[in-house]
Amino acid sequence: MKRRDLLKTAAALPVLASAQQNPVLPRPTAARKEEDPRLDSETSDAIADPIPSFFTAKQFAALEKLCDTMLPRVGETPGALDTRVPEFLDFLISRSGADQQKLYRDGLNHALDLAPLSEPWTYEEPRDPYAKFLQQAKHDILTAAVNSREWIAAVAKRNPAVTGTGTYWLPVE
Amino acid sequence: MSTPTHDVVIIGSGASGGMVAWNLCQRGIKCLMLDAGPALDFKRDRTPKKVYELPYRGLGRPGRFPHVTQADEFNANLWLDEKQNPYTTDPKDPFYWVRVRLVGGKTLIWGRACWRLSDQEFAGHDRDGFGDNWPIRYKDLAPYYDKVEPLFKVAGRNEGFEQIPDGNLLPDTSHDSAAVARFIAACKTKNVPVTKQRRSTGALASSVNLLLPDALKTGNLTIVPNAVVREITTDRNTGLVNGVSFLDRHSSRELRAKARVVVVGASCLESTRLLLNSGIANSSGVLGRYLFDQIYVKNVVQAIVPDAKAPFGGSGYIPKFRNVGKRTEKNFLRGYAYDFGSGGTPNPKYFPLYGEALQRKLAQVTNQGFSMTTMGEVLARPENRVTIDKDCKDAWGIPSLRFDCRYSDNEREMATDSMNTAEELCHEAGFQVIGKHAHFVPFGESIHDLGTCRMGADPKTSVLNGWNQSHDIKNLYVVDGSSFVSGGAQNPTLTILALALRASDHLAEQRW
Repeated sequence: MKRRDLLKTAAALPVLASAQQNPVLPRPTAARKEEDPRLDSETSDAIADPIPSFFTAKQFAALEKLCDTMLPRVGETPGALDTRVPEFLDFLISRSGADQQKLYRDGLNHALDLAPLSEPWTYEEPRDPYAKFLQQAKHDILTAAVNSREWIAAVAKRNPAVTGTGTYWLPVE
Repeated sequence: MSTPTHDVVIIGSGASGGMVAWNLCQRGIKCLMLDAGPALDFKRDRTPKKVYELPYRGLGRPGRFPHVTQADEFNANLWLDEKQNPYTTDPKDPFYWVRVRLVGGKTLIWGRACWRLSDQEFAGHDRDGFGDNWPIRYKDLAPYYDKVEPLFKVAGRNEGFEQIPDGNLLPDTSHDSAAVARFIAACKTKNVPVTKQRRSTGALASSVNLLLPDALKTGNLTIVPNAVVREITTDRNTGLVNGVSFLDRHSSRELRAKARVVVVGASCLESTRLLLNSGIANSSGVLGRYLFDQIYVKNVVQAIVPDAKAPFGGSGYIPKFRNVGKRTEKNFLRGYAYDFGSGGTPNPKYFPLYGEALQRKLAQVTNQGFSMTTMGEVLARPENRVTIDKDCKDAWGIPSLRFDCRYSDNEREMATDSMNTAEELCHEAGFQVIGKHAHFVPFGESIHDLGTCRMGADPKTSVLNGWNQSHDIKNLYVVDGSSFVSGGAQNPTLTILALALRASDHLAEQRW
């Protein structure tokens, strides 16, 4: 059962009603062809809050500000904060290489100034590390937001072709 | 009791190995096919997933594939694990060695472009004096291209270009989108040839559905996955090869299979690595040399079609047009081709914006994207080479390769010319160029690695003869892209298939 359905059901019932019902015990039945069980499940992100651990509180606050400036909520379309991009990037950068970690830490220690992103884009990597950080952060923030459950749900309302579904290959033995 | 000697052992199951098995088995010859990787079970091994259900939201686990830019979080498990399979390079001159170890090889993931080479490549030395001619000419390979194209259901248009010979194609009669039609008109004004893509069609276009099932149906093919070949063994008395020793991928258990003929189609660089590790077929000393690929300048130009109208989308191909006449006309040898595509939304990086202004811009340019990618010939030079690095071993203890290769001014001049020309063509079409550059991807990234076991008429300067047969060892064939002498700008798989089919015809006609 999806989380929302569960919440709806729960809201409709008196709090103790479900506790008073006894579980339904199976009755003996004649043997028949049994199907393999297939259980619905939910992702952890849908039912719990991530615990950021990599950036300092000050850096994380700067990341939240950067995310909100880079991709604010616009009307029905969620922004970077609605899609928990700061928490996700805290996790992603915690697993990234030392270069990337330094780029982010130094970038977040810098006073927020998005002016370098108004310079015309060129293929040359910016010399200024802060400008380089902003370009990387722009990519990461937009990608993490666009691939989030909330963003895909919002876009799917306008364009049902957008589902966020891909073909995943499991480890091959 | 020991197992019998196999007629033919084929190492590798991709385009080249699959093609050889397809031909030999239908001719009644028993083949044993070894592949270093497992076989996919299409029901068991793949499942639909939402991108937000992936642990890294589609961005992939950082650092998992330092050299495989094609790997994404959905398909990551299809690519060869780089930690289990290391190699070495000069840090200044990286090589991206992109590998797939699965039955079917890279035909499971290839881009499917199918272009013939012409005598501009086969007799390239005669045209501009650089490098060497192939020992064969277009007329030798044409009958095999004719057979391979229908097998791979190649669709496209025949245009009568000298540099891209016409094919035995399924007709592509699809209409061009308005943006593509405008671009084609601009090309014609500038005297630049242009055509539709020529691609293998079908839901899957792989050795595993187009080649191996027909071979298995004959009862003459035995496929053994997870067999990591360490060495091709030789008979000391005759000097001929007599089998292979391999390890079980899961257990590292050592086994040996005997063979009358060995066919190597393990991919360009794995084939050469295997021959080098076996210490065979190298009386010329050129095994491992003449490594080349193709330069790719991805999105050499990114443009906007300002007043794009539905239907959007559509794509096309510009074949080589520099140096196709009698004389060299530019400050570089040989030439390049372009893929181009329209539609979609350009990458946000191109716009010097952020926040709400960026989102408004992206909404405004939806479906207006137009981009071109350069694919250029890389000159085959002896100094670009691989050698065995005894100190760098894979998870099975097999020594891996060291790469020494770098591009030259010829490739750089070509990339710059391709950038300027692409921009001119876009301007002629009335498109707005928002990004351009001439930085090609690192050596190897195109996954068009070629050469290192090249064919040639002279056994002193080549490893194979014109039948993909070792000059030194008559019962040894190497049938993949390692045999190329030059590669043009064309995607190489179609030529690999044609060469493998031709080589296996030759093999079948010998007495062993």
